[in-house]
Amino acid sequence: MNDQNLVQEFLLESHENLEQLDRDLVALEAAPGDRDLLDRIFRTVHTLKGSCGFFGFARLAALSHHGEGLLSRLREGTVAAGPAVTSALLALGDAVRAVLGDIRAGGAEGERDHTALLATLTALTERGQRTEDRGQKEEGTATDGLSSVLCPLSSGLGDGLEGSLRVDVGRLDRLMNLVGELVLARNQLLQFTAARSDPAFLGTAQRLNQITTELQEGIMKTRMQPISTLWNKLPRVARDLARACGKQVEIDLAGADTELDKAIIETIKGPLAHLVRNAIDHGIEAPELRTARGKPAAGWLSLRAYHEGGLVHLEVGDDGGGIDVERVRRKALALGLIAPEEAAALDEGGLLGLIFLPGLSTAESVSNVSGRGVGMDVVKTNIEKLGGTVEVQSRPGRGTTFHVQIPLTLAIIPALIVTCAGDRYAVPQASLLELVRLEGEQARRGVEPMHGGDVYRLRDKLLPLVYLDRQLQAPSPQPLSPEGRGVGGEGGLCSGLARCAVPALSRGARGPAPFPRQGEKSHQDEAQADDGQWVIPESDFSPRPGEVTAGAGVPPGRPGPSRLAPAGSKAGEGRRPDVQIVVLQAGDRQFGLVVDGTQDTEEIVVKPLGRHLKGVPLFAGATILGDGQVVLILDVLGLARSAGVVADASGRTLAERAQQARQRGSARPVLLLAADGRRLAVPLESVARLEELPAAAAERAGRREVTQYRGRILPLVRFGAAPAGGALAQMVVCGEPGRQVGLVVDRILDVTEAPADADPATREEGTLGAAVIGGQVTELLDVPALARAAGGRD
Amino acid sequence: MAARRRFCTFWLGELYYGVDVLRVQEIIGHQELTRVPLAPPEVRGLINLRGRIVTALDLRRRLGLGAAPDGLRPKGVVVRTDDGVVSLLADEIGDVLEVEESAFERPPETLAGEMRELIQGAYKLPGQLLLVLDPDEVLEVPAAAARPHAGRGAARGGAECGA
Repeated sequence: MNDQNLVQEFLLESHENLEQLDRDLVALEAAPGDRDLLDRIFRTVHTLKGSCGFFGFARLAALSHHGEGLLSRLREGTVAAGPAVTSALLALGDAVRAVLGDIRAGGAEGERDHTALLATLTALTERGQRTEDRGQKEEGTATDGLSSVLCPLSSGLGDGLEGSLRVDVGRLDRLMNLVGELVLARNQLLQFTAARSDPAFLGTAQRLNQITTELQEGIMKTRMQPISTLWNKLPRVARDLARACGKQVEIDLAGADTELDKAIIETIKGPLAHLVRNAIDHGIEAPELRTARGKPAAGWLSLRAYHEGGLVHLEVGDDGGGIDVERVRRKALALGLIAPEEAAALDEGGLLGLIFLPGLSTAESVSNVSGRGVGMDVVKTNIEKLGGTVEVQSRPGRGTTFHVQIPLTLAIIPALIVTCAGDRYAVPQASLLELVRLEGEQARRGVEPMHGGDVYRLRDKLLPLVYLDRQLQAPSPQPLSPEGRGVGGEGGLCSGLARCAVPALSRGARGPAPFPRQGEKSHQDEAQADDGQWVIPESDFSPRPGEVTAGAGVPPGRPGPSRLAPAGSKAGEGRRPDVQIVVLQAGDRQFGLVVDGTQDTEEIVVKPLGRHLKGVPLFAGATILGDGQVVLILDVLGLARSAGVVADASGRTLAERAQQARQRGSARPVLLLAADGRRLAVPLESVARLEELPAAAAERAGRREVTQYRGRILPLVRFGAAPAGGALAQMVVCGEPGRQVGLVVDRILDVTEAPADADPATREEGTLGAAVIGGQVTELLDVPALARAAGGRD
Repeated sequence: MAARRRFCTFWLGELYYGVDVLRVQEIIGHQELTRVPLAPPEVRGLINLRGRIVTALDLRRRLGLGAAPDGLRPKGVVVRTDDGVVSLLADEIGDVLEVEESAFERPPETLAGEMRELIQGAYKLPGQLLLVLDPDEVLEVPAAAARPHAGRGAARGGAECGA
């Protein structure tokens, strides 16, 4: 991907947007009061402006900025929509189109004269302005100069992709659809094989099966791209933006190799840019203000991407001033976006949610960067188009974090297929810890009731149990209505293949568990010792290539082996012969999901649910299994929330959640340090850099020892005595950005894994306690506490 | 020359309906459905339409008609919407019909509440009324039951904020 391609994409996209703009403008003339239409027009122009700024097309940015100004008036109702306004806006569209043509032809914006058009737009805008506060307009235009510094693209992006080929995404989509049809045809063919015995035919069918599977996977993978393709530009964008706003920003990217479907990357490009712009323009304070508030002058902007629970998670966090919910409330009231009684009823979370309403902006001034009140609703709309969600968490003075979750639309994830009330559901394997099966007497004794919920003692820890059938309010096993499966249809035919799909249970099976979650391995042996339990390590369920899609699956409606109990029977009463518990990780908690049975694992393709099912909780999407049947994918976190296993996460900032995860999390990588005979460990995730610290570099500020680090003052915490005679000490820069601390130690030993829990009895100030790591007692440092103590402020 | 419109037609019991043919992507036979717990009752389930997951709406329920007779295997009228296609389940599928605009009449005042929005009007065919459905209104299914933990500080799914 290079500049030229990006520009081509921009041109293509803009042309489409302009067509939409034309249609909408004409429609608006017919229905001047249509708010939705007006919002859409506004968004289109705003998007255009953003893209132009992004590419440094100052002329286009100026045009769209003027258009946006006029549209703002329309939205406020200070200018009425009429033929003159529509004509001017249409002329704007034409002018933009002409400039786009110039760009296409010559790569530059050309020399067209737009003064007359700009004057018209300004005149129309001011017609409403006269009655308004004059000051605002000046702010609106004073920042026009910004566009020129906005983000000319860094060149050379993605050079050196030798041996790669650009393919039209539409072509891939068509291929994908064809493959989908091929899969279905294959499945039907395989059903015929059950009735045949001709070895040549069976061999050919098997071969076709294999090829189809590989083709399907291959096509899907061609669509995946690392998010770094998007992020590569961000540091530069952030820098230029920060400079334009007179701010300092440090940008921190994590998870750049997280792969997303190409289509998703395209769609989140805009929203992500908005969030970054917002964070820098509104979130992070000016350096003087930051210093006055006791923060480092440079703000911190963090972007994280990771896969969890079958979703792509994107977080954009800053350590700026946070969102003033009272101001949001006042603004929303003033603009008439909510009624006073609504405003009064909203809690903090609800008020934060208001920022996603169209038209709401808390920025005092309007700039080219942000502050028009569009943006957040565009962000939300675009993300929801993908079937995703966006949440905001903010603490006044501490910062704001936006958490975006997007289904991996076309990404392939492994999932365990479970049955409940006659239906099959997919559980993303990323959330799966282990499977526990209680049989007979075990089932009766193992599940113990507590007030309001059953628990199971998993290795002497109480595991809350969540019954899937109750959560889904499954009324009855799948009725054999005309709609029912197993009555004719495809489902009934594949029963011949059912047996091979039932997973082989092995009693206390051993073996390396290639599970990414650390610390599980050590549990396997204990699990075996547990009396009478069937613990199935994940490895037994690993998908076997070529076998997974071999018509895998129990015929729908007849979920698996005889152990299926009727739904609704209460496990605690011992009527259910066996209890199948799927132990899941939801956020920082674990819970046991009680299902009727488990089947195989499959590599599934996550697809979003249609809009009619958007509001339905507990599902992360749907997928099509190898046998062509649609199954729903369970949203593990949603289940946990719905069942009350995890508290609502809103209101907690990224840093707090990270801290909590650090405190409660399971085994995690740590950096081992040695100082003055002590062995210390720091969570690797909190480590920013390792530096050498010459003795002379340590200075004093008051009673504190500090050093100059990247133009800032970094407080030091020294473990052990200062080395003699100018020797080099090792410094570990760690902590939350904005509240970092330098740990001065003698030596850096190793990176290893530490158990989750330190012994609290050994806890001292600045440590979480001691633990045995690598056979030696090691103190686990509490980095936030150290940073607080060293920084002397909160 | 009198204006003519073309409709894709289908039956629900004795009633004969039509949807503008331009909105219909295709007609599909009976498909195996995956039911969706907690979904609005109008949502009959999900089907696999050549590798795409499509929501199937129970038109009978949407239009306030009784349950289909036993043994009936509904067909799907797949209509295009702004965000993907949706399958409307009908008892039987009729022909694509071209009708004279002059035979059209607005629904009578006696048509109850919401039905007036769903049904744009009727074409008076010989011996049969063709009821014209507004696909967009039909697809405006009331939202599912509120999330168990609604009111989070988040905008999740629908237009929840500000509510």
